[in-house]
Amino acid sequence: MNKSPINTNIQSGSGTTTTTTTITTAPTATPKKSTSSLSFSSTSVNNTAQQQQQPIYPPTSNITQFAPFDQYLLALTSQDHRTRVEAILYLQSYHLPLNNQENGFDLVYTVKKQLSSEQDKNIRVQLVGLLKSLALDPFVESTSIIHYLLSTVIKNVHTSKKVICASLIAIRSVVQSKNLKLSLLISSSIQPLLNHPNPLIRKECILIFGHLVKTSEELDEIQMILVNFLRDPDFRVREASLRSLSLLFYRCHNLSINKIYQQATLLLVDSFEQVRLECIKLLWIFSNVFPNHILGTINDRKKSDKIRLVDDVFKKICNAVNDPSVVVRNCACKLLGCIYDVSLHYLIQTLSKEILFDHDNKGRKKFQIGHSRYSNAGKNQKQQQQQVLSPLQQQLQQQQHQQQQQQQYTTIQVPEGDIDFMASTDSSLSLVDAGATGAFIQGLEDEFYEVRSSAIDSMCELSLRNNEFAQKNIDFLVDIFTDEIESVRINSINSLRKIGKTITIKEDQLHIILASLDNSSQAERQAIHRLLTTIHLTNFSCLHATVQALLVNLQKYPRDMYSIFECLYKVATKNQFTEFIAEDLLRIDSKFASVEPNMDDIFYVAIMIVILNSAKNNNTILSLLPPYWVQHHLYFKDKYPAYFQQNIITTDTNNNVNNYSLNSTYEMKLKSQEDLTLFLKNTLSMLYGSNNGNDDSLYSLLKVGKFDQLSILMEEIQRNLLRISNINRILKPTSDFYLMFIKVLKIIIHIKKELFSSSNSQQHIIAEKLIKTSFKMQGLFIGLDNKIQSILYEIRLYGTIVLTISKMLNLNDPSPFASPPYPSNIFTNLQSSINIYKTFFKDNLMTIPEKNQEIMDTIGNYIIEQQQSNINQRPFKMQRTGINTRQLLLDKLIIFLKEYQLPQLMIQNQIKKKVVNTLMPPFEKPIESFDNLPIKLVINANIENISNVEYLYLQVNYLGKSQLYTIGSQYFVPIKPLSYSICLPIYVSLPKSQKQNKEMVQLTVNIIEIVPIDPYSTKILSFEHINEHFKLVNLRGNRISFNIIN
Amino acid sequence: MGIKVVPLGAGQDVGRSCVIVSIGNKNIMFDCGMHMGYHDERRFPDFSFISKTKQFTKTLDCIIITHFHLDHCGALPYFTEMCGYDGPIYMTLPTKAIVPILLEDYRKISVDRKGETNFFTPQMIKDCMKKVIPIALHQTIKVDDELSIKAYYAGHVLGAAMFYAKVGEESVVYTGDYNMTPDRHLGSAWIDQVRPNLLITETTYATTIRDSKRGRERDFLKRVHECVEKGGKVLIPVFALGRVQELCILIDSYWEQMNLNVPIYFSEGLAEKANFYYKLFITWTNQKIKQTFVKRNMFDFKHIKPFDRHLADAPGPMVLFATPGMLHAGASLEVFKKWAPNELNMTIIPGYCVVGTVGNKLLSNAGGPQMVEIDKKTTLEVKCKIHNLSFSAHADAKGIMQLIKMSQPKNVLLVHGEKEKMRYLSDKISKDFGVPCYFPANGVTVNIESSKLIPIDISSKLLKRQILEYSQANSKQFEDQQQQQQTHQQQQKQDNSDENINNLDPDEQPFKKIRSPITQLPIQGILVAKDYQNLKLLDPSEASSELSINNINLNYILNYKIQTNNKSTTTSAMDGLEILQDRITELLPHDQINRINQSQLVIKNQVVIQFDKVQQQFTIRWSNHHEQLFSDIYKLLEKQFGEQL
Repeated sequence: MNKSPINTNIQSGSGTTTTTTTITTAPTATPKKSTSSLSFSSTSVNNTAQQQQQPIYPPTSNITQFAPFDQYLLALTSQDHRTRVEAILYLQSYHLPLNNQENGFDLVYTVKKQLSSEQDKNIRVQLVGLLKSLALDPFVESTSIIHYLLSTVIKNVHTSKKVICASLIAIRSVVQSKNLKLSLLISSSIQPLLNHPNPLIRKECILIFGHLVKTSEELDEIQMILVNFLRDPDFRVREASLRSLSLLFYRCHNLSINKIYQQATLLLVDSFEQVRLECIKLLWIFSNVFPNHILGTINDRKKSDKIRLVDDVFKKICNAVNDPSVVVRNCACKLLGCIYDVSLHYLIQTLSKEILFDHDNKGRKKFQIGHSRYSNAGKNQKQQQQQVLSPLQQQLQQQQHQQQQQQQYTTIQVPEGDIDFMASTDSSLSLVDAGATGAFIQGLEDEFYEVRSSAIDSMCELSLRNNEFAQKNIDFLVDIFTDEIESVRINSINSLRKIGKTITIKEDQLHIILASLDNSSQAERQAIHRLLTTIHLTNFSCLHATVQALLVNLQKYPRDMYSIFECLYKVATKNQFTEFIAEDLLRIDSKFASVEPNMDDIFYVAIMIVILNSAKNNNTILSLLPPYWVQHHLYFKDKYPAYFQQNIITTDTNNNVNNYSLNSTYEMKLKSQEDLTLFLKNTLSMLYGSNNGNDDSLYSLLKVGKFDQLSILMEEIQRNLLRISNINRILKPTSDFYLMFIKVLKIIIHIKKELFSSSNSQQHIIAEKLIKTSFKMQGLFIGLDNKIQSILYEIRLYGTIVLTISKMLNLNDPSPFASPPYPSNIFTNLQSSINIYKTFFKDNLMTIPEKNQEIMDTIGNYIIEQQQSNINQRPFKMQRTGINTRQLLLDKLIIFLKEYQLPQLMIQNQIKKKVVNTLMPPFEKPIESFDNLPIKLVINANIENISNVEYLYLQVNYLGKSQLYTIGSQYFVPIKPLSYSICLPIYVSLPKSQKQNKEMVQLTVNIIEIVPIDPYSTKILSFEHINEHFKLVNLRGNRISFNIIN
Repeated sequence: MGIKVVPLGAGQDVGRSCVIVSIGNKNIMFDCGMHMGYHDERRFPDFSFISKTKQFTKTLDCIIITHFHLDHCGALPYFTEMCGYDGPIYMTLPTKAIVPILLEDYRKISVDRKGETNFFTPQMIKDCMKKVIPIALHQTIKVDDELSIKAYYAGHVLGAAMFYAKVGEESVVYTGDYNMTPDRHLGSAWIDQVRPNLLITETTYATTIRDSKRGRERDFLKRVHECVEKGGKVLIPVFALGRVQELCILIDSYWEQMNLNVPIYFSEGLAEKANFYYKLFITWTNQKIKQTFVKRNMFDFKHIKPFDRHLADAPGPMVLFATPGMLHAGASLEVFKKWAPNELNMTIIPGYCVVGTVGNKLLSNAGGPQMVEIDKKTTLEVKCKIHNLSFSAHADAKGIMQLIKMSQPKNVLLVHGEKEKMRYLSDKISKDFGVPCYFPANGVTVNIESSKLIPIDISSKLLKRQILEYSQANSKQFEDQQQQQQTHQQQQKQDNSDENINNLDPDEQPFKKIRSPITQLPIQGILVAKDYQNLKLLDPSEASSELSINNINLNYILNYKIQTNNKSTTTSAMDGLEILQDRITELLPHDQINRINQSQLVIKNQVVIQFDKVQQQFTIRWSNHHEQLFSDIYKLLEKQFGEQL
């Protein structure tokens, strides 16, 4: 009514809203400026001026890395930009998780306060992030933080997108990990954000929903929202909805398949690969949750069709194998392997390009779009038939042929093996939606090896569950043996091995496998060796081919020796055809007398492994062998105990060959494991005495002090143990351990008997030997229990005492009265040894035997006394008393040694010995080293039963010097649990020889493990400390020796 | 506008690929090849179709060559140098490098051996190559203001590319030759989901479905190995570049693996040159070769040696790769003549042979012994085994379908194949994808109607603002409804009767609708048409600057007097402004409302309300930008104070 234009004003600008105050120095922007000014320093007059105006870095922020907590709180509200940021960062990384509730309260309060006043949105994001970490802290009440985020941060219209996003992420991570009862509140306050223009915010909302659902009503509602948002214009939101749906499944909610499935399948053709990827993952979940749900589909002929859900999903994922994106293809190939319970019909389809379709009502008509594997067989037959035809008929056929050609108008020939489907039918088969057809063929032909590898994995997985599928698989897995990428080849070899037990491999397939033995990659060859052990060889020609191929391999790559032996050993024990090829292998001709082969010839060894190991099942083989085999066997079983049976002789022939048996007192037939165990037990009873009070045992003799009778008994025990070690692989470590123990016993007896009667220098050596042996026992075996370890510590203590005494006597000797008191360092060893001993017992809650405790107390007291007297510095008095106490101590110690009873050491569990097998360098000619240049030596070894490889080193010995080399972790290739093979080069530089002439230097390499003397000390390894705190234990492999001309 | 396509070659045929496409007012020539089967003028496309007066440069906007095979580039020097085309030519870098070698080779055979005249000279090839502009993979080149082209990887041979050409809203994809299955040295073709109006695809193997690749390779190796073991000679006719590199890698590594020492030869010096280029353009090869070339370049063959002519008569087994691949001339034919009569020998033709070549004749009756006419004078009795193994790097039917699925075209046109097979495939395509499919013969024009879309550019400022407003409105609406529903539910609880269930449903319907994503959005703006540019939808403020029209700002002032009759309702004069403020805050809860002083109120920094308590009068100032806001306030005023009127 009164509305009238009074003033018209013409403005030229647009005149919109004023922006918020911009911050002049954003911390992120400053470094850029600095670099630019640096790079253009020549024209930097203006720039330097700028620099003065805006300091590039604040000189130092007044906050340091390890400031007290309160200071950070202060810094959070500081005026300076950088200080605030740093405070947040430091708080997040150094002060979380919090250590008390009060701090948490303070911090949350401060952060909230700062958030309300903070202008910089980047810092606000940081602050929200800090709140998030706080909310996850056990000392902080997270409900209030979520309330705060929901009510003040998100509701506020002026909050920037980034801050909202950060808050949503914060809420999500809290909801994810803490069980809160806020889901209704959260969902109602978040839902308005679902229509936010920023897709990232929508995405975060959707993701929260996935974590939110608790009850079934909520589920219905949220499920609908998620399904609706599958249609979001932004792909990130679509992806998030799919992920949330999957998450709901993972959280055991039961989604309605009818509502979701159709919607989800639409996303299979989404333009974004991430969406497609999530989509097939979701479908995969469906297939595993509701495999037998029946879907109604409409096929090409407008007929309704029914299909099980799992089959439908399988088909869809198979289609995804054709996806343009590698990521999706790879994932699809992986998922195919873990869909369970797919109909066999579809599984088989994946392996052939044949298509099945419904032709008419009568039933299925098979239409083959061929794979040559199946069609070739038919073709060959036809060709054979043709050959049978008479020449006349052939001519006729040719004429027909030519006529046909004249009629044929086509110019592009269909290549052999391929199929022209035009001629076959005018059917309505679809080429695009071929479903499962040929999916694996496609996967195996993929351009990217990741995809191929996944396809192989899946095929292997499916094969394990389905025999028929497995059988059809072999061809394809064998085909992959020629793949370009090594890892793919190895994968297929290993896959074949895994399914090897369920399938039979045809002869031609075997030949392809054997051909791969020529491969230059060691890993691949070894994989094939392992594969060969699982394959069932169907006839003797297969066996022959296998053995020959392995021999060729051995010739070409001698360093495969152990792997090949192992393979031959297993192959031989499994099959029955050896008798047919034995003669051929040994090149025996009945007409001529055979030459006795060289026993060190590894080919001969390989052949004998095959023959003698199959003889276990088939005695007729032995009769075929030339007579010298018995001697050879004796040699082999000592040299290669792992690959030769100890006694292949059956009971009948036992007498003939029994002459090599060392022990005639025991007539036990040591064949079965039980026998051996009993034998071991008996031997041990000789050592310790049996339960029924047998007094003849070694220990009882020892107690009485009848040293003379001991030696015979001990010899016998030793012999028995040695025998067990030789015969049985399982008991070998145990008996080896006992053997070493006997050695210790011997030394101790020696000490008891002859100590202090002989010269001093020997005592020293003997003590050292005792300590060393105990270390060896500890270092070389794994699985020793506490009892045994305590005995080992005791032995070491004993040894140290002997050592100390010898030192004391040494000092004593020249003039017992004039000598100054013992230098304190005499006892350091002993003291540390006692400490270790004590801590071990304490840690393992064991009680120290009385006598040991006594002697340790005595020593301890003495040492303390001496220290005190040293402090008191009364030399004369002390000297006198010192001598007395000293003599007293010495006497006590000697008595202790003499009366010492070694506890009974019994191995209860099965222990394992650390074993190193090294391969000799192939060359026989000495290596020449030139002018001090390092020489490359390649070390090949297999190590077994090593739990911690980081303590392994290579010790190189030459000219009486030794040097340690580390072995990089990348050189350990695991073979079996706790077993590795090593193949590494080391570079040794020898000192320049003094002489003009070159001379031969013998250089040996050992693999050693470093065992800590004190397991409770810090395990920092550095070479200077090795002598002080660690002991080197040589893992008794064969020494690798090199001859070098220097 | 629409798209017009005329195949000058390769329409219902294989050879001399040449397709003219007119999009909008632009004419593009895809490929410019020659036909292997003819030796007369039919070997080149009929360029007179383009322009009777030879004004090619004027008519054509550019030539695009997909790869270096002669049936795709053989006529190029003829067209540029002898027919006088002088416009831009595009090809990928490897193609540019290799094309002149092949052209020179072709020239030599035609002129030096057959003694043809009126043929292009080496200088012409050089001049022609100078006009070529290289294009990188996935690079978009703007040929001119309207036409832009982009190259995609096609597999097939080194440097083969598919091209996407776009003019305005209309686009065409021309595939050239491509391969959807990767091989030993090249990857598989790949294209974005570009949704072109037209996809022109090759259909060499339109109705074939390939055997598995590995099986094929093994067959090949087994055959070669068997033949060589029996002492036979194996002839593999190949083209110097392309497939042969794959076969070389295959055989070389097989020889390595099986430790064979039967010699392998490669005829002509072309091989070294070719391998040089393969080494050079390693980025165009597949994953494996790219990854391992540091250790060992796969194209450094260990077992393959160059061939010398006298070796053809040497005794003993051997394997020979000889050019050309279709056995129509050159070394391969020469050697074939020598080796064919021996039944121990074998010839493996790894690819496709054009009609009229010896290779084609051999393959058409590969069954057994035969007489083959080499040329008009000589016939040859062929006793050796003939095999055709599908190493040809063309997509099979499934691959073609896959590419269609990948690019999602609106129309498909088939070239480079046989008529019958094309017909069959086109049926399939139109059935499976529901898009029209054509396969014109040479010289037949196909018109493709495109949907008449008018593109409108929208300013991002406007769009952002509109989306924001719309989404805010939406969420507000949603919140309101949520509240309503809550109250509704409370009522329900009070009522607790059955009939409410029926009431609930209509309520829930809009509720659900709101929680779905915003997929459509009404936009209000100013549509600007200027010069020949696209139409633009702009924000009013932008529109004025775009059209360089001054922005007029109208400021209004309204005096609104409160009638003081009814003092009982409005208690005091001071309250007038306070009441108004309360009301406005209710109405616009999220907006900024500032009380400047006792008598002044500013809303959103834009609408100023003053209250004169003596006169009991509101003075409201606003500008024409805030008409809506004012009218809201005015309504409030009326409601609050107007009843006294």
